[in-house]
Amino acid sequence: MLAILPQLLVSGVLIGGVYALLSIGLTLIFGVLRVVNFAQGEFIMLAMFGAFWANALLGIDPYLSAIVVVPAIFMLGLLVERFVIQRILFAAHSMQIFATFGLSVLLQNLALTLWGPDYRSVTTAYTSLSYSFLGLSLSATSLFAFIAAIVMAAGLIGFLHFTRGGMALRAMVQNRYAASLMGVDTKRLNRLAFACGVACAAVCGCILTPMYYTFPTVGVDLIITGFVVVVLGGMGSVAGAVVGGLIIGIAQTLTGFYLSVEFKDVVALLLFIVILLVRPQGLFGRKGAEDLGMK
Amino acid sequence: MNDYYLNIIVMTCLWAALSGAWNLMAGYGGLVSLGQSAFFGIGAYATAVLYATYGFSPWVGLVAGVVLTTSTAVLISWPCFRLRGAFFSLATMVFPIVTEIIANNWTDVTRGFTGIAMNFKPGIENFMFQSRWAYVAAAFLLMLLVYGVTRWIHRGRLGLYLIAVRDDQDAAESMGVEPVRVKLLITMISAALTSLGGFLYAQYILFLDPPSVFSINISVQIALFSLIGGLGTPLGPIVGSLIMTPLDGLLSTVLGGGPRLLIYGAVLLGVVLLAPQGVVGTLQARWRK
Repeated sequence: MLAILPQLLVSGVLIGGVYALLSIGLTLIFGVLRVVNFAQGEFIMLAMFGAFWANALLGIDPYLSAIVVVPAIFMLGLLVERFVIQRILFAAHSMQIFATFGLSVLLQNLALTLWGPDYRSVTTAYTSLSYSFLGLSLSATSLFAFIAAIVMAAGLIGFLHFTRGGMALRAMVQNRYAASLMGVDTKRLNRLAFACGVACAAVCGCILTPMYYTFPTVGVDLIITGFVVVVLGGMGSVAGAVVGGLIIGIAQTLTGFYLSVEFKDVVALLLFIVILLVRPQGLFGRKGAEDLGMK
Repeated sequence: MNDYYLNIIVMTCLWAALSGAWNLMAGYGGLVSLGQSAFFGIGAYATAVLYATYGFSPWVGLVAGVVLTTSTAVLISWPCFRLRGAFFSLATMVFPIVTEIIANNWTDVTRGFTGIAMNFKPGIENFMFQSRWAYVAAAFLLMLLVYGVTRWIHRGRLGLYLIAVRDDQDAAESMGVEPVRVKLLITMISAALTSLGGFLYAQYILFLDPPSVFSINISVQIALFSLIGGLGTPLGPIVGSLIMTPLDGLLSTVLGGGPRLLIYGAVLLGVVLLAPQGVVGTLQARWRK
């Protein structure tokens, strides 16, 4: 039983990378706009359909299709920010929840109406490929997802800490009013941050397409784990999303093997409740994050 | 009156009651729960399981459902009260998922995803009736009950405390209101009423499977009706259900699943962006002018 432990840990870390990938966009949007985007999963779903159709109709590799799909979803993000998010930015929490939730229901059923409820999958040369390394086996698709998550997180953290734009963004998060007095264009930053967060979801969707089924409610299935990860890591913290993803990935793989497969999903939800009880702001989060910089 | 229209009346009253119970939490307490279907499902399953598997009268199931739902509500909502705003909603979304997993896997009791059917033996002792009018009466009474409770809270001290906590928890706390206590109280009331709705649903439909009662769509529908009618008004959920349930019946016969929910999403988004006060709220605002 213990001999397999290193393999389980490695698989857990790789799955954790996928979870981190799911959560980075969500945490970015919350970190900047203080809005929980309940429709984040639907943007992942749209990107997956984009990658699927690019493959089915034109024979394009799902990873390669990101070149088209990600900018397209980015544009959609700009539109959604303009017509929905901007108008509810300072509204009551309940209205913010229902606006993004309504968007989620809308996009989900748009996909259902257009493409039907079927489970579709993309098979590529590397779908069932795996590498051997020191006697451990690494699935190629999970490994790519893991690398993408690390690169994306590192890029975002680098951008936030070492560039002028990142500094403006962090200033705005601390104090919207003061930042605008210093010449920061807060409206433009909001729009860019939302579109970037949604584009992260699109990257995630393209990378998940070869390893997961594509169907209209796939976003809901995926994003629940994303929410758990984000709450665990701390809403608004990119590093927290990565660490949270790894913790959930490892916890799920271990319980899936040592206890039972049905228990795998429950353990993530249990962890979620425990975190809420012990440390509601998450591992890397700040207390009172829901109102920070909005008053 | 044929059965089709009576069915719509039953559903209109039932949804108005469920939505009204949610409105108590969300409209007055600011506790935007996306997990009402957990309460609804537990209430429905309690009576169905006790009747179909163990042979108890649904009246026992009714009491058991209310007790079970209310105690579950205390257990699960207590930790969630540490969270504010959207975080609370996020956490509540988890519970229907957990209850659905349990209902799917605890096959000895719930019969899993094949669902559970209740034998139709009409009689008041089984709370099953030949005439649909009886269900109309029951659903209407439930709606009245929820309306009455809401009215009572709306006018009373509890309502004031709730609104104070909703609008500014820190200020309310400094004035001597205990936020956790009032939130807990309203959640228990809401859960008990939602469980009654679940009971009525089970007795009326006589067949349950996990997705039909625990689905997130049910939580959304519950919230949507109050939102359309007017959040935080006693009449709001009833008006919302009066508009939406017959429309929904029409839409599902004409369009079917996907497009119907597509319209739901669009309506939800439209109401939030264009008329966040809902029908009743907007009319009241105009009346006052």
